[in-house]
Amino acid sequence: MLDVGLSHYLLLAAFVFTTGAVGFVWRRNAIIALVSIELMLNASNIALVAFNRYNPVDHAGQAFALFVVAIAAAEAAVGLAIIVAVYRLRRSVRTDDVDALKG
Amino acid sequence: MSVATRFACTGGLFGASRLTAPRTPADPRGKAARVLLLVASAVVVLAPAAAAQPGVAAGSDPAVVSAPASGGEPAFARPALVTRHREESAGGRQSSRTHAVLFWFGFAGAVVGAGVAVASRTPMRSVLGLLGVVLSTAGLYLLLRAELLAAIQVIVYAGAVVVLFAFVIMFLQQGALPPPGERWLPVRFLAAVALAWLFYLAAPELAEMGRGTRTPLPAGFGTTAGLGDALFTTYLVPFEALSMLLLAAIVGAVAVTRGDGAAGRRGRRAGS
Repeated sequence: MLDVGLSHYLLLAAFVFTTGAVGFVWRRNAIIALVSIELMLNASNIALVAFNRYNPVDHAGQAFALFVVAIAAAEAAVGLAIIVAVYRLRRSVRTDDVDALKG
Repeated sequence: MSVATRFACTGGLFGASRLTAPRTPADPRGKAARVLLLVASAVVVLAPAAAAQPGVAAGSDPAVVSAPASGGEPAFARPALVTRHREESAGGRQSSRTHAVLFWFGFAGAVVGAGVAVASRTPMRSVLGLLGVVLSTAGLYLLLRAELLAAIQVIVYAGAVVVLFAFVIMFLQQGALPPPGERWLPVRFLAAVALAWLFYLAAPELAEMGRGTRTPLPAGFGTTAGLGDALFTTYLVPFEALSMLLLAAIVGAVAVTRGDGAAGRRGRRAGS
């Protein structure tokens, strides 16, 4: 337990990613679904930075983690804007209530 | 399988059972799900699965592996790598023990925060769970010598994204948000099975713990200068493309929320 290596970080990333995936398919609240997406992106960042730490020939992992942070910020901005627009239209943020494209 | 691994599996399955537990305890389907989870947890915890794992059994006596470990000591034989690693890290900037303690704090914070973020009933608490994950991750970045990324994580994630989430939740009047669904979804059970399967897969990983290697780092690794050098030479094109993405996201967010879209037109038409 006292010798922390790469596998520990990967395990944590797997935990967080699975929690986010479970939350995304489980929760019907659009805001919490977005939070779950953020969790998954964070988990991928942990894995990227950990891989980079244990193979430090360049900064590839950290650079990609930085890109993922920026993409997550953009995704949160657009996603929350969509939630606000849907709330104006339907007075609800439940993903069940937005099924116009369900066919 | 060591005692710690079994505890971890049990904890994971308990969490999975909480995820699948329906709100009404009298639901027979919920009872069936609980019984199934109980059986699954019994299989995972009691089965000598570790004995069948070649990675764990390699280099150690099979009898030792299959026997339950006593005193909390892992049952597998510690390889010489661990002792070598200890000797190496003793002279490093940060002792292995301090690193491990800090790592487990970050681990606990991230896992608990993720659970709160996914399982809480109110969105605001969920966002606070996300904040816990983000801050724990920033601490882990420091452990991984990604100093600039840790700062960016706190500034961008905790300072901007989480605050934006909280802002939108308050804007949407939290009282208007309905409680989460009461229905028992089969997908919930599938998700719990997937989670249990992950823990099962992770069990040999957990048993392997302690075989980490300490890689020597080049000078300037993870600092602002080092990462900035990589960003503006090797990754210049993706970096610039990212600025276009952020610009598009800004324009899109403004266009969607301006209220001049379909909702606004429909509202005006209905009003006139």
